[in-house]
Amino acid sequence: MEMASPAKVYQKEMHNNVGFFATWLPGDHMELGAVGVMKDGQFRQEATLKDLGIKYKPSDEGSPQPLKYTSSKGTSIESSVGAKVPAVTADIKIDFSSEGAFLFDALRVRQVRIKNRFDVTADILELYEEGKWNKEWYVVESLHMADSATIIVSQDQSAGIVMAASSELPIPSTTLADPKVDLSVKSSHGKLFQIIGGRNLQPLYACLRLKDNLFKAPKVVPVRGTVSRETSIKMFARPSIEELIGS
Amino acid sequence: MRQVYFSHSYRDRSINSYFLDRFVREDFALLADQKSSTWCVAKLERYMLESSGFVSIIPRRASTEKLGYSPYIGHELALARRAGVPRLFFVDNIILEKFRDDFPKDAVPFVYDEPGFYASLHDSAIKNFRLKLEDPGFTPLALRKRKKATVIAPKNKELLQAADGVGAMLATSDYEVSRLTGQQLHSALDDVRLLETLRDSDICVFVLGDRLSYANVVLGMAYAHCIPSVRLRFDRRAADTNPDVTGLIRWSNLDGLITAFDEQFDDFKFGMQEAVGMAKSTSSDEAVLDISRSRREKIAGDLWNPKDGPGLVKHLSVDHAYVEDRVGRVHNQMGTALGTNPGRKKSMEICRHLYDGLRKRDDFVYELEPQSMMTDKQAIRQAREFDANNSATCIDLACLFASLLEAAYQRSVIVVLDMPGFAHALAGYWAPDEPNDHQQLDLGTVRGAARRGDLVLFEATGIAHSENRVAGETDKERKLADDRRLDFTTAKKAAITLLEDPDIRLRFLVDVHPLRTSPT
Repeated sequence: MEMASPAKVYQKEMHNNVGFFATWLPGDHMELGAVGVMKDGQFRQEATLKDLGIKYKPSDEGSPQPLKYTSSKGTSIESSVGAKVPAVTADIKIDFSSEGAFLFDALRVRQVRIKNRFDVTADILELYEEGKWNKEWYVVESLHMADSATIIVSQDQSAGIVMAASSELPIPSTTLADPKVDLSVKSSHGKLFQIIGGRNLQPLYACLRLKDNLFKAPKVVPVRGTVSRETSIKMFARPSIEELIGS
Repeated sequence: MRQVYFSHSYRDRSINSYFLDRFVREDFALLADQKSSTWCVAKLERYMLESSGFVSIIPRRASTEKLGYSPYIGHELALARRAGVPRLFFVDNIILEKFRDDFPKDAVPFVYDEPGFYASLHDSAIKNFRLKLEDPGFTPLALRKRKKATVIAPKNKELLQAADGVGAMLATSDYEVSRLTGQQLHSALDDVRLLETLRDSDICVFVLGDRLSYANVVLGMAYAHCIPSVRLRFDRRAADTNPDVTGLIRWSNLDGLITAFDEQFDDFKFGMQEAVGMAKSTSSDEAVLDISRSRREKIAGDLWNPKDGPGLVKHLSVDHAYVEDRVGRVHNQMGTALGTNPGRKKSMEICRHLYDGLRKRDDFVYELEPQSMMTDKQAIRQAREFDANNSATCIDLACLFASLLEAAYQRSVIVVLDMPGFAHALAGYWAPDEPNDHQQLDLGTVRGAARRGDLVLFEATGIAHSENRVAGETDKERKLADDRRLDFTTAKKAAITLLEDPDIRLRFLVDVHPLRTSPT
């Protein structure tokens, strides 16, 4: 089944903005060291590095930061209060005028990655030589985790949502992902994918896979003692967004 | 209106603009030499003789390791003092305090960060200078002469052959050429006609041997009289023919001498710009900007087509002695082989040392690409081509860093970004544990790699002095340091800020290593 068009728009634009693959569906669980295939624009986990006996070291979590994007066209956001007026309740109206138009608003986003990449890639090559690594597999080597996020993707040419927001802080200065803002859907029209104020999400990830022309390499596995494990990275590739959405 | 020679540092535009404003009010005619890659002392001597006065603005040239002022401006000051023309020196108060003996007592101080602090002192100094110039008893030392040149060389086969070459070049430009050689030179101190010949010349060219001779005596006479002179001294050990700060050119072969003289003579013939008139027709800021932008000159080597990313590799200078030296210093600092035990931390340390080394030791100044009629070609300075001004564009410095990083066994990259109205180049490298097989190198991929630390980018112009922000940094960050340069952390932050700008487009990322290794 080919990936639905709204998801493609979301995936492409998020990749262009942050350079990571957007988890689809955005609420799906994703973990560092996950091993799987790409299918219909989704990463489908089949194993983990741990399952396969490969030890990886996660990096420290990066500094938390907010991430906020809307699609380059077709998204408009209106609040019932003006920018300067402090208010603790407001209606927030979001209109989408194209398929795939989206809103991505996440708070306390931290990045974590596999720190010992040389070791992991060398171990994967060994498994491959032993016939225990599927050449189609991807490994999730970097992940963005968000404490909270609101992600809405329009799946119609025209869709919209009105949310009631209440907070102890003035509404215009808060984000739609702020857990201190209580959000509830008042009304909506058209078909939407939505996560409102979701907690502990992994909305973005990056992965590696073995190179396409691996068979051309004279010797895949670095020979211990003669070739350093650092050369293993040369046998890997960084997949493109087209590869994901065309899967 | 009398002409005054305007000596200034091209890099300190806001200070120059401040003073130019004040000269505009007093209706001076200030002659300024547009920035060029050639340092031609004969031309300065000529304008010194033909001017009624000399004005100089002397700011600090600060770096982390030293505080001083431009040796080139220093030479111009000495020239003015030797010529004895009326002068007005505005000197950075810190420099004046530190180098008191370098300046005459009538030097007027200014505050580098707040030039207007002594505004009334500056205005009255300019008014008094004007009154001095209006004294009818004073005339310039010389007026423009006919196209006469004198070539002086001792009697020696090679030197005479070189003098013939120089004479022929002068004659081609319709100069009437006199030759002084052999016995004529021996009577230098007794035969006044020889001095008159020198003084009657628009330009004198001294072709000197490696030993002192009577030609050097004649040179001393010309020097004392501030007669425009090009000095070409044979030196078999000379590595290049770039003039030193006094204008002396050392040459080791005839071809080198001819090329060097050709550059000098071209610059000599080139006129000055009248800064006050320019400021009146636009603004002082614009005039200063125009003068401080390099003159488009003959371009050596291949030009680069800005659409040809891989073509940049031809403009790197990996094997140049300058690059080897800077990389060698980092090797010594780190005390370890740069190419072994790769890791992110080590790569970052190498890059930081390279960056800091250039920022502290090399006095680069950022400039925009000189204006040109060519829209599809651009000149890129390689390491050997940085001139006396050490001027560099963003692409010059990105190529320099790509060369340095490659020589230090890093996977260097150059990223060229397009923004509304301009393009900009960043330098950087791939982390050693990032695959070199990227299925697509689009903006998203570059942004993601930079976020993960798989790609480290930095603002290469951060090592160069710039009065204002160049790209991703803020004006405040530029002005935080006296020398208007960025520390490495700020240079990295500036690159990320630019990369995250929603209006940018990726023109290309040039991944140097695969381009070197792939068959062409």
